Amino acid sequence: MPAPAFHAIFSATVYPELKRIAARHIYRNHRNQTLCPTALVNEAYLKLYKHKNLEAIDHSHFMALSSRCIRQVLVDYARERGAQKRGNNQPLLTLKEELVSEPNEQNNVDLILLDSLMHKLKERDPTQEQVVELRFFAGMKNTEIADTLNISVATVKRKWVMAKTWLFREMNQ
Amino acid sequence: MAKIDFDHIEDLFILCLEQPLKRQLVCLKQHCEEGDEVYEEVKSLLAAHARSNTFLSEPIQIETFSTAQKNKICRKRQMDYLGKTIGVYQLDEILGHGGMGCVYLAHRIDGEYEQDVAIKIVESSTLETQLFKRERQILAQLNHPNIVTLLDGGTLNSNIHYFIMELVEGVSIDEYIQTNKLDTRQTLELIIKLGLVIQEAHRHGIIHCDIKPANILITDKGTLKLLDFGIAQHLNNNEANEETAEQSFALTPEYSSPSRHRQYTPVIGDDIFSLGILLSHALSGQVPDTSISKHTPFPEPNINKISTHIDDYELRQVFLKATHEDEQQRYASAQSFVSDLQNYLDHRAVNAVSNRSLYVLQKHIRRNPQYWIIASIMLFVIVISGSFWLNQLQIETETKQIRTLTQGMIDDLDNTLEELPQTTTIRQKLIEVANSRISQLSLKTGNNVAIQIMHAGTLSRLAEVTGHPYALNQGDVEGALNYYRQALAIYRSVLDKREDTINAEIDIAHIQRKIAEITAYEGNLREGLKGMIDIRLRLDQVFKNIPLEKQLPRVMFYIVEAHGYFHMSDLNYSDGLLQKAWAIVQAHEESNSIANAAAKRKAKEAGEEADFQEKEIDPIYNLPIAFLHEETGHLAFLKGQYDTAEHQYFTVLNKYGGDDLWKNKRRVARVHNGLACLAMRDNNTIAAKMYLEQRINAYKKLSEKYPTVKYLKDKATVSKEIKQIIKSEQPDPEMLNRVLSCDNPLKFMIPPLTTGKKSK
Repeated sequence: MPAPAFHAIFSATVYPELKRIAARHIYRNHRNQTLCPTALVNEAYLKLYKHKNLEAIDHSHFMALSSRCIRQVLVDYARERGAQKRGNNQPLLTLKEELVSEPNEQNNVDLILLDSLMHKLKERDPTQEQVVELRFFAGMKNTEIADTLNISVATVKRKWVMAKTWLFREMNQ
Repeated sequence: MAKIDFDHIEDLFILCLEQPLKRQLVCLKQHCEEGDEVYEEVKSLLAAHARSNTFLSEPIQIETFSTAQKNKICRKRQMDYLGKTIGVYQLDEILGHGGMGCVYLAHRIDGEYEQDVAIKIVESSTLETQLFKRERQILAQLNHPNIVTLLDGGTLNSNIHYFIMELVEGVSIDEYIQTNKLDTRQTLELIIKLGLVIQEAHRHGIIHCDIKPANILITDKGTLKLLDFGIAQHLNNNEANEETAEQSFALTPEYSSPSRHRQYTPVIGDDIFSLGILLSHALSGQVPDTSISKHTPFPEPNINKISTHIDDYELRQVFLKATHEDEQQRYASAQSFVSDLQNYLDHRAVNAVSNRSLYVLQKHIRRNPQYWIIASIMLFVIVISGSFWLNQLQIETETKQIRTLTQGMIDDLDNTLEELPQTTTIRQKLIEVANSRISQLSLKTGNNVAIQIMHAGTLSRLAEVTGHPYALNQGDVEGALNYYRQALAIYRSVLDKREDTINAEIDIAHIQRKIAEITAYEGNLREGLKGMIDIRLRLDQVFKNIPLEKQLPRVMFYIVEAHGYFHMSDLNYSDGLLQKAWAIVQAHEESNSIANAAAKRKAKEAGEEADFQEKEIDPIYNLPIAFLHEETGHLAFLKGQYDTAEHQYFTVLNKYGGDDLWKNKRRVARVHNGLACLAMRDNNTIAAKMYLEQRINAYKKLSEKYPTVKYLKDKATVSKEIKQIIKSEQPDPEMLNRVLSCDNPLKFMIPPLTTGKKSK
């Protein structure tokens, strides 16, 4: 299907939907539960599946675009919360490890910083940026990423190591 | 800054990263000048890599909110209600976030009495309001002690709605089971309670749609409370209503049925499915497994995998019935699900397990063992005195009836007793008594055929319990052979006088087979096999003019002979014999299905379709047919046709794995051993280990039932090696092969001896 048409549908329908779903999940009260972003994307897909124009869409294409949305939604939330805390920029979203290990060191991810670094990363190597997005923000496995981006699993691994190392260095500079 | 070639940096970084840590810089120096821009970049990346282990290692997760965070969100999203009053309640703190609104803790301030409540408030768009109203309506309909109670509800202004609920303080059901270490019975009782609540909701036409541990709380007092009817559906709400359609999307993947995953209109079966999953979660403590599905975006529950967490066969069947892929095959209602669990608790027959009469009888016996022992002894007395009475009347002509009556009774009693624990001695004693009585009777009545047949039948039973190696026996092989020979002599002597020629011949062949089996097991395989060949040639004559579909009694003889051949490594001959057995079974099934079709047509014409019952293969042939599947599997294994072997083994487990009959339990153990060896062929040590555990479990259960049988105890004993295998994440393949004797498969294929006293 022609890409522009898809993008139009996507931004008109998927993005607001994702936002809604994310909001519902975030505000829903389930004790000791964390939400996996993949579930968000999947739920959006389900909801929009009935949309006539979406029927023909390749699933992995959808997932790739949705991951971008998820990232945007989550970063927006982080900003919102940051603002709410009046400057105290403690993110709403944290890595899972934080729950089990000491919270002070490198486990806290500053999502807003991460997001801006990813924009930089994109200029260096767009594939690397996509791999990070799919893996970290959409929770995909290497094989799924390989399918989505149409590259080999070995390449996914390689791009991931590279991107992760670079991001880590930049964040800790 | 000059344009840096990022690809080059990446190549170099990856290349040197693959080196051991110490050699990384050396590697780098080999490829570029020290101090160079590229050198510095890669060097700093390598250094960063060493510290970046945990960085981004898990996908991002959204944390649950702390109370403080919740307050902020509720304040931000809604008007600040804290401290305000609604009706007679003052809102004290925020409890959490429901699907569409915030829930507050509130207390009564009118001084009437002390009462804390939960108040859910939503200020929202039209859509959310509608859903909210629906939940309120549903709760109002459901007045049940185990469903959170709706106290009141209303509207603050046009778009702010609230409802007041009882305050439920408790822990989720899975947490409750775990922290209180509930045993199976207590857990099932809890699930039963839940099932009844669901049934009540269904009775009001409401499907909950989101049954999962987080929605089932147990209070401090141990009361179960079902919450969150936020996405519940009305049964009759089928019209394509935008709002309901919108809500029906929400689901919890691990607990949702295939049709929920496919967004079909919710039905009762969806709740039954979730109850099934919850049952497994509650019993095993394991979060339900899911697997990615091609057809749905969410991972779906992996029923096969989940079922392996349930150790108990019957409960596993209940789980499988509740979560059957086809909604029609599930329990028709929460009530029937509950009843089946109750059946299990009461040792009644579980409906999810087939309705076989023997299974039902067995459950009855297990429920009332004492009663059954007494009843059987009394029945024996009746049989014996009844025989005297018959003697008085001297009914020569009703030979057949008498035989059926008396022998049938002895057989039933003995079969019954065989399934009772620790009864070999009692059985032998009882049969001895019966035998001596019947033998006296036989002498007195001279040539009364019926009584002679009964005598032979009793002798055969006595022989088995005395020392037939396949049976639970007293280990006296010589004694057994002696009884068999006596029985044989009697059967032969009455052969000409009997009208039921085929039965008469089968009776003789049966005894000959037993003798052949003992001979083979005593070490003289060739002689035993010769006996089996003689039987076959004789039966060829007997059945010469009998249509194939009526030759089912022959099946067992073919299998036993085939079994003998593959111990002599003559696999082709075995194959031929098993083929003959299959030909009979298939012919029988075909004729059954033709007869059924005709009968069905007739019933339809007569308008009695509802009462129509399909004729099925006589359950007395279940054992031979299970045996036939097993042997065919073994044969395929020995011939290297592993797919066939696997298929046959699974058939045994699926069709007959549930029979608690002790002969079948041993079969199940052997088949698991076979499956384990098949898994080993694929180097799947994990699966092999699992099957090995199943094998041990099967023997363990048998050993608990028959604690005096040494052989079972040996098989159930977990050796050091097995312990090591079970403990290990990746068991040693050699050790597994040894324990399973995969290199010498005949060893696990032989039905083992069960006497403890036998010398050889």
